[in-house]
Amino acid sequence: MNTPKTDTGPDYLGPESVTDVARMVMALMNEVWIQRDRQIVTEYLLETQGAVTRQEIDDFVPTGDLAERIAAERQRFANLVAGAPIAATQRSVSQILERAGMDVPTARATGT
Amino acid sequence: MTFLTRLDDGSLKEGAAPTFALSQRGRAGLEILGAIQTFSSGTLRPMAAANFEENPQGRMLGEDHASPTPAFSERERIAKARIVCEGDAIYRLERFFQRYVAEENFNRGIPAIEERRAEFLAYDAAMAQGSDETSQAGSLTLAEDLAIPAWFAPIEWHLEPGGWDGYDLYGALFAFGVGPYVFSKGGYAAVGIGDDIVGQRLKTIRQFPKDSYARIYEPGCGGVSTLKAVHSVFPEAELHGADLSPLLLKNGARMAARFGFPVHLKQADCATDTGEADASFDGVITYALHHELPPKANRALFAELFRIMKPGADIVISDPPPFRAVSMFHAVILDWDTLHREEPFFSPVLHESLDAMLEEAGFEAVESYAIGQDQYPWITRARKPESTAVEAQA
Repeated sequence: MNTPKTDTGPDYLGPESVTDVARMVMALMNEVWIQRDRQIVTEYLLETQGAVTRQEIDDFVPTGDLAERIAAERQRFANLVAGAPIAATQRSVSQILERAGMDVPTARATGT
Repeated sequence: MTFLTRLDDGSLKEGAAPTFALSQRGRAGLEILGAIQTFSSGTLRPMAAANFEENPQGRMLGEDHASPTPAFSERERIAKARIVCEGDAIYRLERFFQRYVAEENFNRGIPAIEERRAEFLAYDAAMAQGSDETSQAGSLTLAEDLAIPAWFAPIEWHLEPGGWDGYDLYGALFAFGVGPYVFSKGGYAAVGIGDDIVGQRLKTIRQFPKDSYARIYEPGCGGVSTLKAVHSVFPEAELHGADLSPLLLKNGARMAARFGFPVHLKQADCATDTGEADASFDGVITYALHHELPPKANRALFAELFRIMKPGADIVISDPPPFRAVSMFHAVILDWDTLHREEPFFSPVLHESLDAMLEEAGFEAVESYAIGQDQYPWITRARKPESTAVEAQA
């Protein structure tokens, strides 16, 4: 294998592999979300039951208000991670707050 | 061709107490795909569409696309518009997410349902007992020696490993995973963001012009999602369906029994021979079928449907809109599915006119129109004449 040299060392993957790297980032994003969801479920079961087993967490299906809360948190998470490339240019206060899943305050507060 | 995409217990028959769900890992891993798809089609795609409109070449192509006398052919316009789109980083990011979610529906979904195989089979057995499937008046006829068309066999539709029959738990995967957690969000292929695909089916069935039908036929019926909608609108109708996939038909027969409506299912290549009698149906419904057949097979299918329909019978079709009916940018979006979501006949069919094919087959009163956002579902409906030319001469 003839590995090209760059200023920062050998370029093992090559510029065409950026999609592969993006797939790795997305796989990590998914795994991080699974853990985040598990944390929310665990906290909920501890708050409502006082104790919880691994099986109870595995089998738990959120409903009602909790399901809505998780859905909002999930969308915020997806918007922030998947939207990271546009965050470099979409940088008004309202755009930043919208991406964070937060209400946009009045025009006066955002200076727009 | 469709599969069962939502199986919420609330719509099951009374007494269907057993429930089934994915594990926390399986559920969360699919739910985040739904959120990525929502961001992709709800946030990035409008940005990419605006960028296309602001691009001078994109604007010129859009005007040409809308012109009654375009300078370029449809294929030329789409090819040129694709180059404009692919020059936009937002478009490329949006398409990457679309492809990623389409892959992960199975990369995540298959392990998610396999992990719960034992629980699902126990649930399935309990449901079978509760529904008393043998008491239903439906039927299932499989044809082991059926010649599968060469265009069908090697295709892994929608990136589904092994095709429709590639994994025995695909029905459960869609009903309890991809259906509720990803597809229900809309924003993929021709389905608009936030669209309710179950509601779209019901709205499509309501496009039948008469108040009641005695016998209705569906080629490519898959897992009976559409026939279930037909039953809810026309409960008096005797329902018949056919498909090439034995797995979809078996799942469909089980689901129909559990939802409590009789349906007669048959494995058949509907484009060559449905196995049904001449002039035996009052209505025909097709749902998301024609873009999965080569144009030549579609023409043969319409001729066969014409044969089995009674004089005066109606046909209602829901399929993605033809390229001529959507914006230049959206045509590029739809065209993308052909190469990137394993839909080999998507563009060939969208370049054609189902209206013209129906007229060639002998149908009359052919009309087509949209009943949802982005021109989807796109309805095409027609009628078999009360008397054909041959009968009139006799």
